[in-house]
Amino acid sequence: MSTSALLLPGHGNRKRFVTGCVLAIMLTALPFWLVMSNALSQGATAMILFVFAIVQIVVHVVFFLHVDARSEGGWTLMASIFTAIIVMLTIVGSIWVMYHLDANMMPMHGTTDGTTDASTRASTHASTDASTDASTHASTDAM
Amino acid sequence: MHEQGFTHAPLGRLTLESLPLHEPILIGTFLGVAALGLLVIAALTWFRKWGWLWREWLTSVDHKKIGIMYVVLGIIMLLRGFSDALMMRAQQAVAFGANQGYLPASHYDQIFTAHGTIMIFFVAIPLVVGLVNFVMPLQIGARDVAFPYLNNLSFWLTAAGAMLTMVSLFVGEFARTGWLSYAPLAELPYSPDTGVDYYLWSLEIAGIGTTLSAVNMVATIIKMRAPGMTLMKMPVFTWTALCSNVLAVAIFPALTAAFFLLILDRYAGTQFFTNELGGSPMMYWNMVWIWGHPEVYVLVLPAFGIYSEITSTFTGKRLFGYSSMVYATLVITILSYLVWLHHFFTMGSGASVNSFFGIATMIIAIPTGAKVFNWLFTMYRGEIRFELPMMWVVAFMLTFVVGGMTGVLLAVPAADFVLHNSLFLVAHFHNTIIGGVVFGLFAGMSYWFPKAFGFRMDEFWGKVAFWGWVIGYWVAWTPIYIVGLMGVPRRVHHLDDASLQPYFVVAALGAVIILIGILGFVMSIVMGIVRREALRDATGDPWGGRTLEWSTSSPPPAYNFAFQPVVHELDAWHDMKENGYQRPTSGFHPVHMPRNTAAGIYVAALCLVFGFSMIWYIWWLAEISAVGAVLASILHTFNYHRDYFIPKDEIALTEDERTRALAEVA
Amino acid sequence: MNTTSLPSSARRDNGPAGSRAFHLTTEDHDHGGGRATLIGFWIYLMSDALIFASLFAVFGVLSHHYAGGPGPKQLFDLSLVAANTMLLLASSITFGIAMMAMEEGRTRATVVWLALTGLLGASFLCVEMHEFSELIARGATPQSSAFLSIFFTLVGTHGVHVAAGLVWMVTLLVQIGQRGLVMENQRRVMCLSMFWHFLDIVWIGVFTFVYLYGVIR
Repeated sequence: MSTSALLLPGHGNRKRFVTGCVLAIMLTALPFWLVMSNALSQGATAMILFVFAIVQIVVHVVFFLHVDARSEGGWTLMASIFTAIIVMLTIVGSIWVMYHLDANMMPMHGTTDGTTDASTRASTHASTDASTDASTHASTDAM
Repeated sequence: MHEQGFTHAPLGRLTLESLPLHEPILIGTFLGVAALGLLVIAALTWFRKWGWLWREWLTSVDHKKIGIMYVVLGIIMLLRGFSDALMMRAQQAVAFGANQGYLPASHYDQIFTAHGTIMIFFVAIPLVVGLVNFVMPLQIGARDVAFPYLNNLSFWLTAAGAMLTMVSLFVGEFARTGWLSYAPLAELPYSPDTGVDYYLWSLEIAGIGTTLSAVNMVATIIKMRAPGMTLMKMPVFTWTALCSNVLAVAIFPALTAAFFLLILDRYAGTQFFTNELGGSPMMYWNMVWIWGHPEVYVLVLPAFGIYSEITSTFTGKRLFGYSSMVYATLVITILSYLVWLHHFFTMGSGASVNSFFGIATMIIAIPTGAKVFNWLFTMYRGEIRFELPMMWVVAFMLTFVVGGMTGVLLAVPAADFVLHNSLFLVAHFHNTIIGGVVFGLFAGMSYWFPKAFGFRMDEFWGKVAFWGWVIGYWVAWTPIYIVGLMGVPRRVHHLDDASLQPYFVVAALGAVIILIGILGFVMSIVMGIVRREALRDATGDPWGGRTLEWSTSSPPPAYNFAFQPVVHELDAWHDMKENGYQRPTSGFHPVHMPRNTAAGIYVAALCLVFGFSMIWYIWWLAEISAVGAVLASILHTFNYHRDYFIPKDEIALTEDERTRALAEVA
Repeated sequence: MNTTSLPSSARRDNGPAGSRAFHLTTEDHDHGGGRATLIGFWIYLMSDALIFASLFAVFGVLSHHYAGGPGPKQLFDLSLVAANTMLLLASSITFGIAMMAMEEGRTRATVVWLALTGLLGASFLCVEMHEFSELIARGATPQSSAFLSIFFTLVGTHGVHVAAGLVWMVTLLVQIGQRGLVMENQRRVMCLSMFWHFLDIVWIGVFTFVYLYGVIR
């Protein structure tokens, strides 16, 4: 947290803040409008959603939280980057690992080339009764 | 939806049946513990020490006192955890073929679960945190940690978690699911009793304490180093403390989240890790090991730091390769986050995933190897003094390296498919934890004990402890490596093949030798106290140390340093000694110090009550204690008078005493 | 990253002439040790970010596990979420204004803008609780499927954090009322500011990946 940024008097600080506000609002409104209006294709919309989310997070971090290389002798930025890396590893790593686990180990599908059918999996789960078998998914559908 | 058995009875599901009145072992244990407890209470009352205990220790925010309390907690829990080990070994030594042993399977399961849980969370973590707490602020030339009240709270939260686990011995049962309490076994249909709930609530509470402590230590190292102590002039132990605590901040949230979701499954009927309605038990494994692997590095990095300090002190030389030590520590910190899947190679993630994690696991051996070489090069051509701390270092090097190698062996996924969850694995991690962490903690305790208390531990009993542990470790675990390679799985309370029995008998013998080691350690403290005048450390620097903690008296005054130290070189105290430092004997000024507080105990006590009431479904009590804990915390924030000044006359008095003591020695 | 260069106040100790100064002769005036508060709170916030990261990871894994039940397309009312998002963003903006007022020493303005932030935050929570009760009334409960479990938990944990922030805000407003914007209170407002913006950042992740992406995938 940069206290030096807070100590800047007058308009320099205000301008930055207003810029941040405007950016944040735009970066929020546009994705909502895109999705609710179905203006673009699914792929393009998804891409814009992700990019805008990242950008808006950066906007918040820079314009509202005032994180820069000077704050706390650079430790704020260092901590933020380290955290961002761990966040990415946790989310991406988990999804990667679990995707493979599900592909190989879930009943009723799972070829090693990783093709999975979400709706098949869902219906398999729905048809499973409350099994007391701890060691396997008690899928009673014909394999 | 599960049958959750929620009741609205005033004591929830707590009944007379929850007491183990039909278990002779537990009744005996309870009587023993009660007798000991009454003895302590009687002694405190007789010597009128309650006020002293409260003021000087329990409400203290002094990092030195808190550090010592952590270590005391760790040692007490070591006795409990090791009792579990002895019971397991006794069972394993006899339970073959027709002989079912003396422990039924359900008890054995509780014992191995409690053993692992206690050893990691309530022995290793408190001992490491305790040593870091005591030593690091002194090493960086600070008067205390960044957040002294938070430090006190963190200790009491950890202690509350430990107490909650201990309560499970006498009220209800502990978990039977192994020390990580895997889903789906830990879910309500398969573990409906209080066991897993005790586990979850104890560790959630203690985990918050550990997380807050880690935040505290990192902030301290960042902000409170002495003027002139740049990062590359920090002692290696401080570096490892920094990396270890950064890692702790990074990983404990994952464990907190995983346990929180399991709690929701058990209490709110959610489907995170269940076998139905879309739950994914494998995700629990994934999350828990994202915590679990870096956790062992959280424990071992400070141990490595201890070895560095001791090696350079007892060879009379600067540590070889300081920069590469630092970089190796940083690399280990980052890499430790990239290997977690090696704990479940066999769960079916496939070749590509397994290969990545297998290779990453092997790579992480490299920086550790670099450290070993640095220690060896430090010792080369040094004047090595084989005092007790140094003996532990040598034992570590010979023992831990073997464990590292079996780790690299296990890192090969194909090999792991044979060895996963075998006793080979169990031997590997005991090899690294005992050889790495435990030996390091004993090394550190014997090294810094005189600093903390003003006299050394008894040398003879210290050597009994040493040889007991080292010989005991090898006798106890070598046979386990062998039977593990032969295919014996872990967590079984009985085996059919009687030809394996000799191995387990030898292993049990090894456990008894370790017991001698533990008793020797306790005796080395007791006899140290008895013979303290003969073992007195009057100078504050009994070993010829090189870092700032040795510039203070033993024990240091409450304020650590009468004047803020200024640092110019690495090994700051050594630099001071070499460059004609003269200890100032006048010109003192008042020192700003934080006040004691009872807020930490109150909040932690309320958390303990909350945990207990959640376990037993005593909802009204849970609500009251939860609200109480929040209110107590908020009330504490209304206290704006948290500090005071030690008047300069008092400083002068303390410093004059030291001047006299130093003159007597000279 | 050097925060500890030698200060010019390092005066010579009473060693022999020509020797280095190994200690300060004057006491470091650090106003009662508050200098580590902001970085300490930031580090805590990083740990909180990792709790959310874990929850997002679980969401990533379980987001398709509908157990034959309803998914995002059937459940989410995007206009409600849009309104809620704007409420939270507005509260971040009002907090920013409060910070600038505090910066300029205007206590009353700070308190007013903080209170406004709190009202917007409370409105956010009300809308969210309305959304939750609607879903539950329709039979989409946290127990119905893994997807719903993680949805309610992820969004709910964010909500609990907002609620905690509101409790903190009320406490702080009382304390400012009692003592004014003393240094300690200013530090606390700065910490709450970090917390509040952090929650808005988490919400960006929520509305993007849970709601918007959920509806289109």
